[in-house]
Amino acid sequence: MTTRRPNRQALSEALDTYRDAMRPFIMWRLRRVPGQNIEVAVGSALGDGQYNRFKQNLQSGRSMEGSIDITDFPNIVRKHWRDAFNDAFQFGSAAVDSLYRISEARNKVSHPEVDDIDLEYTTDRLSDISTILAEINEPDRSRAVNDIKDWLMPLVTPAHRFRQGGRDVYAFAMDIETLDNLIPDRVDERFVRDANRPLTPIHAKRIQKYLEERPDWLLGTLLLGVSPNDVEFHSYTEEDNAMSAVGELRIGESGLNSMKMFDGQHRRRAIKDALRELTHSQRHFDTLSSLRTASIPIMLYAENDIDALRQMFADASKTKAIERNTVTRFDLTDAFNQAALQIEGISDLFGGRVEMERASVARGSQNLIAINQLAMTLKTLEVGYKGRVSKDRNSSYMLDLDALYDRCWAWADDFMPAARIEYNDLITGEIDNSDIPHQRATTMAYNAVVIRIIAGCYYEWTKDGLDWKPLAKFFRNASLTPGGHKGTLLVDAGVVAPGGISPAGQQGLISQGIDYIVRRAKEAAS
Amino acid sequence: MALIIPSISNQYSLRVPAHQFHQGGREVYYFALDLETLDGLLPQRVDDSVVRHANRRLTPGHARKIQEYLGEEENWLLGSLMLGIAPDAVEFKPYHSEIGESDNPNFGELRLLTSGIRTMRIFDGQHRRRAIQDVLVELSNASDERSATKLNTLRKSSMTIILYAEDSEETLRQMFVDASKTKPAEGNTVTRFDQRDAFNRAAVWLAKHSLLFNSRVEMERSSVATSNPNLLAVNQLAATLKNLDVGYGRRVSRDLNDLYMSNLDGLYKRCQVWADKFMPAARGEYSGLVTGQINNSEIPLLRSATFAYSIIFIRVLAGCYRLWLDKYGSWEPLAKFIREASIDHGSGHGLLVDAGLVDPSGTTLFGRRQEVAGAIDYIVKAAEVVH
Repeated sequence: MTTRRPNRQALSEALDTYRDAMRPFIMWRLRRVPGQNIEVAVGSALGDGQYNRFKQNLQSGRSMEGSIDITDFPNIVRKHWRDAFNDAFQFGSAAVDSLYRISEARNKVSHPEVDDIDLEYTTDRLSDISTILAEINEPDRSRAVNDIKDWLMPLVTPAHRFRQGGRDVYAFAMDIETLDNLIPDRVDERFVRDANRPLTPIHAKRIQKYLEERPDWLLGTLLLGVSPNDVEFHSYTEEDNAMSAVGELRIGESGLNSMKMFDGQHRRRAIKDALRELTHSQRHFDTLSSLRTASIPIMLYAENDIDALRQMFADASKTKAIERNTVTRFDLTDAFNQAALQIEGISDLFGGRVEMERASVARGSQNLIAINQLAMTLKTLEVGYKGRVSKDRNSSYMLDLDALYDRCWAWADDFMPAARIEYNDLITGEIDNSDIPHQRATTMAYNAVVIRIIAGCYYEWTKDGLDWKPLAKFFRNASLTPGGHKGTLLVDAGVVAPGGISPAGQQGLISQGIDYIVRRAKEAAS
Repeated sequence: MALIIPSISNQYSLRVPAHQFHQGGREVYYFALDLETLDGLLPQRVDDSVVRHANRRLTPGHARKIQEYLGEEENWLLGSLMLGIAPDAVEFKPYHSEIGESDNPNFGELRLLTSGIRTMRIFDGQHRRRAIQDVLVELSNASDERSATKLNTLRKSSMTIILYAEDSEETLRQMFVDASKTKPAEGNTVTRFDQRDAFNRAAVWLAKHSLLFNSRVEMERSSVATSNPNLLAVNQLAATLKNLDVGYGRRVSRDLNDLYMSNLDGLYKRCQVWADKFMPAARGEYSGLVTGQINNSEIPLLRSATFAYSIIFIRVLAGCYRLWLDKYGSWEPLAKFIREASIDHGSGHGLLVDAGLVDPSGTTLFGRRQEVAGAIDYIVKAAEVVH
């Protein structure tokens, strides 16, 4: 049912149901009034205006039952309470108050204003009607009115209400299937719209795959705004009669439609796409069932001003990007992160010489390389400097991590000491870690980029099955002294500027430099 | 035989209404805590400078920024903190209908056993946690009325906690990484949305009101492609306006930003003078756009002939303008000098080649900080010689 005044329409339907049930009930009960027939009993309960209308209805040929109006019900019940109605209502005379409130609602429905009837008023009257219908033994009609209420109020959930930054906030959890049905989704994704930045489909796709493929997934809180007028919150009462900060949150159809998600649109899209894709796949029934019953936490701010919501998005997104060394240490779904941690633990060269707390190595550090740089270097060792490790390929590596460790270990503790005396002396103990900062002035072997270049050369050299020894010999004889000019290896390779003390770090130059070094090494070997 | 009776009052460290649900095969509890309770309950980092348990290093500067945000902004917002706890350290009892209207088995009382509270670990939110502690201490130690009011408000404010029944450190670390895989907000979105920054406001204002920039600012992307008929993106305009008012390479501190915010009209006016007076006076490419002699659709084609439609050049002009005004107070001689200079592509010489901003045969300007700063110095000095 789509209408401009959904609350009025809902109330109108419920009132019709109520009227149709109450008329025969009243007729039946009025037969108990002693010494009065029904017409007299009705007439004696009504004021002049109501009585005249009742008589006119009868004279125009309507039945007795059809001549009684909704607004007559409370007066009739009150007048004949003791004789006819006292034993019909479980909650006693409070029922009469409900009948009067329902009569008033009839007037509101019959004389609509420009705006729709208030949502809270509507749901309260629907509750009154449903209760009365249950009391007069009309359970089906009572349920029908509750259905109307559910339609009008699609979201009814326990929630915490609290204040944050001067706003009311509601916190609750929603299962994924309900969320997919109720929470708005972006349609036009390419533009900044309302409180949302453009939607990036590839980012949503990544989250979708994460939900589908990782059984131990987690998703954080979705942040939404809603008009304060579109939510109802009924606090629960605590044992000491104090109002609780938790209660029942009710949001009507119009509230759901006006909700604005200001943080979480990619997750929202991913959920929708994952449910759709899994539904169409017979093989993933278990994943789908588990996903459907999982839930997501929601924070709903009573705020609907777009500028304010935009500011809130900007504030919420001022997070601190996770440092790369932390990712390497924490993200064990990546095979090369695992390999870096393994090599740091077992390698003679790298053990105790890997910076774990920072994402790069300062010149004063006694470490050779940071853990994230080591992970990157090991990737270079396996797939080349420009090579990528796809998700599928990573999965293959994860299946045989021991083999990956062995290859990395061989490079670290066999090739590297053979390739440079600096590494050899570190392993034998002739150079102490504390010497590394000073020695940086005389050799670039302790530079993380240089180590990665050596790994890149190793990959290019060995990928066709060549023995690495000639390459190691070539490196051993090369000068890595900083401040070199033409004629020194890294300057000739274009990765260090003449007179420079470290590689420039630009990817294109390093890639070309690796090709150059390998070419020169092959010439030297032949 | 002596009985050991557990202390009932200390059995639970927290009893709080909570939602219980599943996520990724784990039990999860979701609840709100007021900041004062939170500060008394949740674990706090002691050793900041190392990766510890499920936490990365704590960066005091970042925590300080959040602290200032909480202390100074009225309309602040903080997202959920994420924590893990040993599954046997929690109890959950659904509420029954006689307590509330709800008969929802997933809504009830969460109890954290005192004996297990030490297993609780924050894995996302340690900077916010530190900021909350520091702001409460700072406001408690202050004696002014504003601080007292703010402290009172903050104490009554709450934030949400997502508590995972998970205490494996390795798993919590993975969960932190997973939770951190967010997509950073794009520069143009930040400029359009974050109206606490005076230069964001100035950029959005200029994009609407300037003769030169109106309908020539890319709002939907954070940079402009060569084929784009816009001059620059709105975030680039904001950065350019910052160069214009404080100089290239200079920072706008929080206090300075507050000053700008208190007189936005003054800032808008200065930006408009640069955009609609200086810029058209400095280059025919801009006056042509303002007068309509050049159509927006021609900009992509003209990019192959002139550097005037390069964002780097526009930023250089903003930097030169600031430096010149600081010395001479009147921009006209600088505009005249730049108007007469050659900035065409591939001419082999010209102002920008001399300034070291482009190779003699180059078609793209260098954008590195030192090269741009050097070019600004060079152009201003060259203009001084002529002046």
